[in-house]
Amino acid sequence: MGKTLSTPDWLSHLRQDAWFAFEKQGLPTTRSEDWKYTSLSSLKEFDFRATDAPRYSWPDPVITQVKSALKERSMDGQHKEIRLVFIDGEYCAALSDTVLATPAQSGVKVLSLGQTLKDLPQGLQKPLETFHSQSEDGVKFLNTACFKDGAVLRVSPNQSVSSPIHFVFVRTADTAKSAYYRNLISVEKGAKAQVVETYLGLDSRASQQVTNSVTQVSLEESANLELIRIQLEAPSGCFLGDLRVNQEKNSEFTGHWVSLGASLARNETRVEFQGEGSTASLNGLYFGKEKQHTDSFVLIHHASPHCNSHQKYKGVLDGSALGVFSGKIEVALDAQKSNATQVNRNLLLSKQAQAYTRPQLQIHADDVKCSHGATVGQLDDQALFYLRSRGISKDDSRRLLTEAFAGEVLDQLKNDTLKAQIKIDFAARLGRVS
Amino acid sequence: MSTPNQAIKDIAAKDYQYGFVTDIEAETVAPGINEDIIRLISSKKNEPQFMLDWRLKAFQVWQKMKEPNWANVHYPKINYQDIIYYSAPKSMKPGEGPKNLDEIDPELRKMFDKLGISLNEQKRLSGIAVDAVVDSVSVATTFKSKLKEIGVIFCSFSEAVLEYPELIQKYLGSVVPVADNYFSALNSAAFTDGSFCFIPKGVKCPMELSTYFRINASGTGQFERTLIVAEEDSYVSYLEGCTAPRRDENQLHAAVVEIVALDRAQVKYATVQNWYPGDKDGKGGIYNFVTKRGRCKGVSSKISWTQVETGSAITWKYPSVMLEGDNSVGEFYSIALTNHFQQADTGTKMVHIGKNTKSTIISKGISAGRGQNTYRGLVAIQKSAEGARNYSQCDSLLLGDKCGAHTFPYLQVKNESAQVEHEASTSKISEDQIFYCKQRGISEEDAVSMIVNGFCKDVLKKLPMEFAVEAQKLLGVSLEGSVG
Amino acid sequence: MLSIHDLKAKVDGKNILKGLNLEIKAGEVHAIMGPNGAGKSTLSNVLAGRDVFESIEGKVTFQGKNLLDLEPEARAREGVFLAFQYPVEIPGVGNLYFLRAAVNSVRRSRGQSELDAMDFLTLAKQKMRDLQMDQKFQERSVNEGFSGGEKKRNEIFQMAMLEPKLCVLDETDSGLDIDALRVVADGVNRLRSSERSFLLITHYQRLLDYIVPDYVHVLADGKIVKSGGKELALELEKKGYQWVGQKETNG
Repeated sequence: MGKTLSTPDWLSHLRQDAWFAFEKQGLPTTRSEDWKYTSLSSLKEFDFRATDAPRYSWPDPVITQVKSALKERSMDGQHKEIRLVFIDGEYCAALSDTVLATPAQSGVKVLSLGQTLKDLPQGLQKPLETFHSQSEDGVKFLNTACFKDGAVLRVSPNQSVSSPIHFVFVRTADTAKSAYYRNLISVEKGAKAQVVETYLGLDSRASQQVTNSVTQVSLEESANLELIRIQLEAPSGCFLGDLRVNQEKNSEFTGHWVSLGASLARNETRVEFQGEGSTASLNGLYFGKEKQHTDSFVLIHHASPHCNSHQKYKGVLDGSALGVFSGKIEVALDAQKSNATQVNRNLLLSKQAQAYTRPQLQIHADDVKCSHGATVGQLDDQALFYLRSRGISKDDSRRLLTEAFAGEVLDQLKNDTLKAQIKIDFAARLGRVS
Repeated sequence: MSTPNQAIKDIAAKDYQYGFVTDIEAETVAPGINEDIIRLISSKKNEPQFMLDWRLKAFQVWQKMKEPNWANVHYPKINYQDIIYYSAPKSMKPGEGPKNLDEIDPELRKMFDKLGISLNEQKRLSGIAVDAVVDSVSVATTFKSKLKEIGVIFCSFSEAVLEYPELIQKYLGSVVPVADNYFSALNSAAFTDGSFCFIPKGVKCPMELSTYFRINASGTGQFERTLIVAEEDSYVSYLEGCTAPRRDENQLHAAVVEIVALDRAQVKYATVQNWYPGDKDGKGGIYNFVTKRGRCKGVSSKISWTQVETGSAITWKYPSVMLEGDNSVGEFYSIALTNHFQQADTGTKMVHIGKNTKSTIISKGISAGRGQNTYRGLVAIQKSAEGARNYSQCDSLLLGDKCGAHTFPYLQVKNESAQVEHEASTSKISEDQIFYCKQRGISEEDAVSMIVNGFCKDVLKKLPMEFAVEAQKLLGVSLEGSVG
Repeated sequence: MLSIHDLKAKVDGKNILKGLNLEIKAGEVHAIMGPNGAGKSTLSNVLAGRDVFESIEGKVTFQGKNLLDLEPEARAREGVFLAFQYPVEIPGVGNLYFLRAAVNSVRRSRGQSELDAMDFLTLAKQKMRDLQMDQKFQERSVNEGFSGGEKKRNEIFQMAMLEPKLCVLDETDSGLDIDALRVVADGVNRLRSSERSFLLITHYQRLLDYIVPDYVHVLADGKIVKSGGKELALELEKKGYQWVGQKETNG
């Protein structure tokens, strides 16, 4: 393997462009409408450009620690998972499966971006350039300028991948630098796959770390993808995620966003319907306690007629955490017969917890059915009383109801192994309910 | 079926009923704004020094501010030096104006008769007192003395500055500070008249109070201020109406309304806004950039805004309530209709500060033609607002495929005991509904207006009877030409 | 009263009605039966003037007028009433307010004076009692929150108030339990007169036990394939629609 990524000319230019753009614009501020409730001022002093020198191998204790974490988070069940592992921004070949198109897994390619740039670079330039040209702010420019590696998945037409594909991005205590990932997923005509991205902070005492991860998804006609992003960064971590989905005719996308870790986490999801008859279902669960700040930003652009989008995001906020939800549905002039729903519900568990929500509709077509709803509230007193009257302690009752509240979102997960894992994660993070 | 019916076309052509100009000799100052103009306005009104100082300070603040651009409205840049800031009928010359209602210039009286507003106290059917404002001055206030008997002060703002300076000094700018926003700062510097209303302790105002705003002169802007103070245990219901002539130019209307409600006071404020909306090609019309805010200062006080916005080329207004007193209540009921090229960016802010404060927001937006209709609202529950409740419902109805409906709510909750609920929907009138009505013998235009009125029912029923009928008719007229 | 000649209708490139002929005289009650997809609802939509068809050919004369030339509301004013299979909900528009607007627009077109609120209410209450309708119908919005059966009853109520000449009932029996069916049928029977005709469109014979037709027609594949008296309905019920189809192909 070469130095870091083998870098074609177009990529060097792109990175340079992006870096200039970042230097010019800097990080977004709360003056920007999209970042109104999330301030990155705590990162002002952070040296974004600094990433670790390439290392390819890690000391044994690190590998052992990662291995045990991988085992815990494995989705091996009926089908064995196909896994790529990244540590502190870099691809770890030793812990990864590499799947090239072989007869056994014909039509599926799962590779690191580094390998892809080296072996199968065709088709990479366009999505990377498109992302840059559509970048809204400094966080995205930084990613283009600095991404070191990432996962690449290509599913050939009419292939159904039965194994869950698992990308694991681990942070160790070893570093206080940034990790930048760029993942590219393309599901071709009529193909189907399930992908899980797990962002895992291994050391709870780690100093400030930033993970900046962009995933670009392209779904061709009648393609089907379920993508789950789980954020379990260390308590001091900062997670800046970005997911972009382009959907062609009759395709179906199901996205899940589960945010449990990090002191500051923001995930942006943008879905664009480029062909008729597509459906996107987005589910989200964000949890915060102590001084955690989580921000879920969603933009669904109905650019074509006859598409459906459904969003269901729930927030559970304890301690003095702040949960932000911004969801916008845009329906273009000729996107008739669009059907869009959006629900955001927030549960405040403590006096100091806060929730800000902005569910927005921007409609330019007339033959549409769009609705949204948002609530902020507490656990239902009557339900609480009912449980207690049956002899369940107050704390247990609160915990039970809170888990049920979150469960409504988590139950949408199709993979049972994963569902069970996340429920345990959530319960562990929730801890004792005040 | 979808060919526009000739009948609709005919009515559409005569759409805006109040577009006439009245030929009144006016005293007008040179266009533009500067300290001299402000001094001139102030001296014309014989204002005390505190008022002039306040204006000059506001002017300084305004000069440092930038015009906001966050609203979802688009218009060519306004040159604030092209606007005439003072224009008044000659007959209203300060010191020489009419001493009582009988002395009012017959032309002015005729103009108001034509608008359906009688300045003759004997002719008023129901108990409504009117303050009539033309361009920069109040020309008449009815039932002033009768209201005075029970302690209610209802008069023009200019008069209040002279007669009740201590009340003005106490409350002016106490709800909308000078520097609140660009247009409120401009208004604070240049306002020329408006209405003042004071309801003393324990008095339930027996009449509806109302202000009728008329822009008549060309090239002028209207900058008026309304201040309503409701003392402990008082009640008042206030109505506001507005119209302007049909002109190709855009005229600016930048008003400020402030309401103060003390302990257990209740203020209802209803607006039927029918400024000239511009023609069907989007030419002309009023820019309606208004700041309206109420402070529920007292415990268990209540401020309720109801608005029917059918006029103006551009509407930019967010009648708001600061819920400071414990158990205070804020309400906002709105119908906003945009047809042809009209744009509206309207909504409310409900800021919950006191304990157990409650707010309700019901907004109905209707877009037709190429109209763009935006609901923008903030519900903020501050840390101190234990047990606060909010319910918001924002529905949009689309008529035609070239219009837009947008909903931008902001919910900020900083107290865990709060219950905040927001619901919104966007839909169109379905073919099925129209066909059903037609099958029962009802014409398409009647069917549309019936369905639109049904859509708005929750808000219409909040208006005083007389206004509700007026508003219903207005909705019908404003929609003409949008079907088919 | 109504004369349909060689009626053809096309939707989404598909021919639904393929040359339908039907003659209804004043005072007659006709029933049209047929399997799903035969074109039953299409017929009622064509008669009422719904604008969803690619093309309509043929001739429909109603009291000497070419019905197909008229707007839906004009047909209603001429006296064509359609009781919808799925009555639509109109939120915020009061049920009686709506009906009074309809009644008065029909009366105006007939040169009759409009009913004032009091007269209208008296009449409406009388008819509502006849149909055993709850008082709550008065306050509610048009069809909003009504059960299926309530909606159907509301259709018959409107029919009674509008006094049409030709009543087209599209699957009015669907979704009605037996008690509700009796009430609805009573309502219809009360309206029968020598000047008023009925066209009952139904899938099941059940309705015809209560509203006894003068003629029964079988609609299959866009045409009337068999006509007869009321006994035809019973025969159909016994042998199923298959029977008609077979007979057609066999002979």
